Amino acid sequence: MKTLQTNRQIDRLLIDYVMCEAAVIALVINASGKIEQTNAHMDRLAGGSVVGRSFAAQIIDFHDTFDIDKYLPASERPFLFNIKTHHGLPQTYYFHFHRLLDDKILAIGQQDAGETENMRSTLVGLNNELNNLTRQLQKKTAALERLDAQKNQFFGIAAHDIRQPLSVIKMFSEFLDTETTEQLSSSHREFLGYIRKSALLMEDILNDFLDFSVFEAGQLTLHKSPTDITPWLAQAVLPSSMLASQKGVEIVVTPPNDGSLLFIDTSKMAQVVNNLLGNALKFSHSGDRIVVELFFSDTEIVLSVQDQGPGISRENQQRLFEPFVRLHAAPRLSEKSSGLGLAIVKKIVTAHGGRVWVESEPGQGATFFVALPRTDPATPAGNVNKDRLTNKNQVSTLLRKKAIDNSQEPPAPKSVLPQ
Amino acid sequence: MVDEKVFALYLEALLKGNRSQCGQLVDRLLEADIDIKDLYTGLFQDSLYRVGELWENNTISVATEHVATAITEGLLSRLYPRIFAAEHCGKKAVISCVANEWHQIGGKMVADIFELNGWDTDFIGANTPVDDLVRHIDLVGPDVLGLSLSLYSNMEVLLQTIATIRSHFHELHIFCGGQAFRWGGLEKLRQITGTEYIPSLHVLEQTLVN
Repeated sequence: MKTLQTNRQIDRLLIDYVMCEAAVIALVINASGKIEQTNAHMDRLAGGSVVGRSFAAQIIDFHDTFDIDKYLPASERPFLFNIKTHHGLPQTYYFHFHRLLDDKILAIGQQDAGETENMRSTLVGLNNELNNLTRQLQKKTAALERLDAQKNQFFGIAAHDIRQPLSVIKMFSEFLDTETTEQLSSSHREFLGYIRKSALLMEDILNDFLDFSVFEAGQLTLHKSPTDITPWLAQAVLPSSMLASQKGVEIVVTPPNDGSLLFIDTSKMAQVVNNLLGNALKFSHSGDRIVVELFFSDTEIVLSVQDQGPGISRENQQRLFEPFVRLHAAPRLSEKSSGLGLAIVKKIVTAHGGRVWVESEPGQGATFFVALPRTDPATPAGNVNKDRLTNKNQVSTLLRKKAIDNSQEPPAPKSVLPQ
Repeated sequence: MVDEKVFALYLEALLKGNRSQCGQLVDRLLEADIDIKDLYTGLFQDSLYRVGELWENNTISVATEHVATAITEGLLSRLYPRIFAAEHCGKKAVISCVANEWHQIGGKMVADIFELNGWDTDFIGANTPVDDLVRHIDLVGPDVLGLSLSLYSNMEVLLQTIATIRSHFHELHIFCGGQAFRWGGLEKLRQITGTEYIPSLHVLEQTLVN
């Protein structure tokens, strides 16, 4: 009698354990496949009681062919089913099904501890491997950063040290040209001209190297001030317009229709204008026109430089602003450059909180755009700007339209060159 | 191409969770100078498809499937020095999974195929909320957005994600792919302009090359 009582007590304790605490699934399913009783573990997996629901609906059945009779009578082999869970990640349980006396079915499912252990050891191994890889990667990154800093330093020192002898070449070739005009033959004077031109070209390239090494070293400091865009643009275009006139190219500036002040570093932004114009000039021929325009939106002012050069394919447009990339049709020998001009443009514009892009079709010239924020970007930015989210082509189209809509009479293009 | 015998050995090791044997088989293929794209499609993709089928047929467990995926992801990282060495063409792609989608390896392999073809690719990963995706696209300005979907139950989330992205970026080209489309969703996807379905890594590769 005592043994019987003890056995009943053990049964009761085991049932309580299975129903309330154990990490196994215990379900009673009726003849129509509905769940009549569940244990706490099943409720925890489902995120609530599943009593009254179909058992088939609790498992992932890709083929929609679940039939519980296939798994009866009870087999020694468990059946694998993936149980849906409330957090969306299914879990695998191995089920045994037992038919009860009243035609109901007891389903008991448990996880495979061996599989879980295998997964754990694989994940620990992978985690160790990835940690070691990350360590190696960080070491390589640190070494590359040191190398990059050395490269920038070398760039700067080399450019600086070459400048000194170059100044001597420039100075004495100019001196010879002015002081010995009478004594030199015309071909000798022509040679002197080549020396001077080459020295000037090399000086431009060195200046680009110096600028770029400063930018790359993260030492670009902007001295920004509120600037009236109209006189500033006219001044900024002047140096390039002199070069253009020598080449027989006309630079046309559309007068801006807005007296807004822009918060910019005038010297650096003038470099942007000159680099863009220099680039346009490189690919222009005598008789061509380069058009400089300004467009206005509520949030940005956009400067565009349009040339009549050979144009740029869509694939090549993507790489234009990378350093040392020359994707245009070849410029003339005398107009070789460092390959840094557009990269410098991008660095300066980005430092102003602006953006730069190009639109072009092969054979139809190219238009470079520089968009600068109307407000100082040092002010904390708000949410995502809708203007910026639209396609860049659309921005330019909208801006064009806006510029025309805003003025009763579209302003006539005006050349900055003396007529 | 991957030999059938090698594939069978690899799949067996993958299902047993034998990481070191999988690694050795891949190393042997690399030593034999197999094309990385063949390795991706003929070994990694096909073996994971097989793993997925076995899971769907209740032949293997979630744990086995996760181990197989984790082993494959680990092997992919061994190939990165080769993948990232490709000459870049200046184009950018963003690849992501939608919110609630935790299966990321398909998307990762798609990102790698883009890299192999010279694209700069950002792979954002599993379970990416749509707001984060919008911010990232705005930041990066990609030419293409790729969305990967493994579970059909997440199809509505995908379609909502595309609608949100489209409201911000009207002309961004979007393509989708993943095992979820075996169960439907193509009709709805085709109704959204500028959106394309790419059925496999092989088709993606062909599309990028052409």
